[in-house]
Amino acid sequence: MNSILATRFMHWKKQFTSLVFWLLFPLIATIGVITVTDVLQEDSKVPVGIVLEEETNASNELVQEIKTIPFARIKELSEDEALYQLRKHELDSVFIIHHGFEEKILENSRNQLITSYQSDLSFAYSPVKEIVLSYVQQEAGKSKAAFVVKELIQQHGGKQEWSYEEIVTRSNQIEQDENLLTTSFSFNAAPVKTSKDTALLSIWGLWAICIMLSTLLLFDWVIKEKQSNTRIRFAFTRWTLKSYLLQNFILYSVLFFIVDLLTVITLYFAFGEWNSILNLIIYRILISLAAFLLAHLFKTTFLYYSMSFGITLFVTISSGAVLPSGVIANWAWFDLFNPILPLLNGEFISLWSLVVILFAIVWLVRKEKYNA
Amino acid sequence: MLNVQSLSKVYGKKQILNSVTFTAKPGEIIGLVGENGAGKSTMLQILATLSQPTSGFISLYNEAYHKNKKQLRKKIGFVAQDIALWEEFTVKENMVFFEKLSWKNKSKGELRQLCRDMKLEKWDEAVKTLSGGMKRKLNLAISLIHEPMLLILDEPTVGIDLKSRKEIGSYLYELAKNHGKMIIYTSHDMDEINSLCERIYCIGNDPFYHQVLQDYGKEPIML
Repeated sequence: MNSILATRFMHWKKQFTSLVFWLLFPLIATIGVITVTDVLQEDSKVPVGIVLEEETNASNELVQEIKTIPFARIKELSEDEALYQLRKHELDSVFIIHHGFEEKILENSRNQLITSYQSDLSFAYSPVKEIVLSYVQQEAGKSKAAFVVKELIQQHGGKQEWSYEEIVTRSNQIEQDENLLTTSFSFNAAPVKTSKDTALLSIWGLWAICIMLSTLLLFDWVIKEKQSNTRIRFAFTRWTLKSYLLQNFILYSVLFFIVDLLTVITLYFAFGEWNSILNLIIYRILISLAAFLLAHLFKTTFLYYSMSFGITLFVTISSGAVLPSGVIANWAWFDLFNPILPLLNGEFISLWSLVVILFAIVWLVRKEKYNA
Repeated sequence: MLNVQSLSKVYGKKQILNSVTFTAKPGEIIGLVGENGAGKSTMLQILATLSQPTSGFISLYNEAYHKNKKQLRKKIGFVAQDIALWEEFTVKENMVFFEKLSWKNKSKGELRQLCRDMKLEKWDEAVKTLSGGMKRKLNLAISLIHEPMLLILDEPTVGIDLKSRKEIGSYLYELAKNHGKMIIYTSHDMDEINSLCERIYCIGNDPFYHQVLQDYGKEPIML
């Protein structure tokens, strides 16, 4: 194996730039595309102005709550500036949180807390208003509940002293633990998504597509080396051509494993996205094996490259990993052979994997021919 | 010693080789001549274990060809008509690459000496920048890394200049006479064949080659 490694390094040295490019392409492309779509998504959000007349915990929490609205981009500015921008239709709507907001919330008073403005072109005003209202109701409710709890403690001679903040904190904790307010909706018989994934693109879907393309292109070495005149020399070396190709396949797999590990770590730190390492390894091995076997069918790299781009395009459109799968919704059978689906669904065995393994076995038992 | 007995090869309905019998001893250079398509390359491929004969028996140093090909191949060096090199590699890298895969371990010094013996001095130059003659020399040098006893060469000097041709010829002669290698050699250059080979076999029943060999004062042996 050391000899094979040495000979492979000699090839890698010659192809260093293209090798590094295609190895890092999935990671760079995934980060690049996700970043760009995030920026585009951010730019397409509706601008909403917030004017804070007081800087208190309650008012800041309300602003944070409004910032979680996925379709709204929140701008904090002064009242004059906010209204000026609203008149110029640079803002969709404006919400002014008045002095005494926190005090009134604590007193369970819900009047004159916030003033809102909209223009004749506003279209996000209503949903934002509803979110603000529900937050105010919720906070005011918590406040009222806290006072009731304190009163009950006093009435029943309770010895434990609970402050207002402690009660509210405890209430928030219960709300978070029990997840009472989160409900997932789904179509009949469709799997329920519990994640709060609002990304336009699936990171692992995109990565899987890029991996497919880069792996296919990186396996052009099989054609270059198998179709080279040097293949005849393998009859007179320690290893047969088949054994040489197989050992090189293993070396490539090890290289891919190292790069994939780097990818998983990078994507985790960049986007907080995680996927099972075993799942990724199985996906990568199957894709590599498929590329390795496919390359055996070609005599020229040009045709192989064309086929690689074609296959990747087809899987991108049809797999539903990046684009909506409605494009070929009638092809239910394709899901069985979809190479990306097992990765995204966390499955290890699929018809696709069995087919690849079967072809690999056929390749292994086939007799080798040398033609001078 | 190479022993070929009643060797025949049939492709479909076409008889390529018909009951060929000959022997070769260490130190001998045997030439094969014949028109294109007569079966020279088929014969060499069978002798190099790359193709199966339809019938007949071959042995090399008393080891039968049909028994253990892997062991036999350690004793055989084959230089195909096409140049089998990594074009983007240097001479050194090509030699080291195939040494790594070879049965015999050789130091870089030994590999370089092998090239020097063949008057191939450009050690660090990329193959794609070498002349045809230099490429042919390197092609031959790589086939000698594992020190084969039988060297089979399919038109090793085709398309190269006279100087390189002479240098390769001299080297092959030295290999046979001083190192006891058996060499089986095909070429369309009758001068080269005539000057290098002790015995010349004529494949195919073409009277033209028969006449040419007689003109060179050689006794043609028809196969």
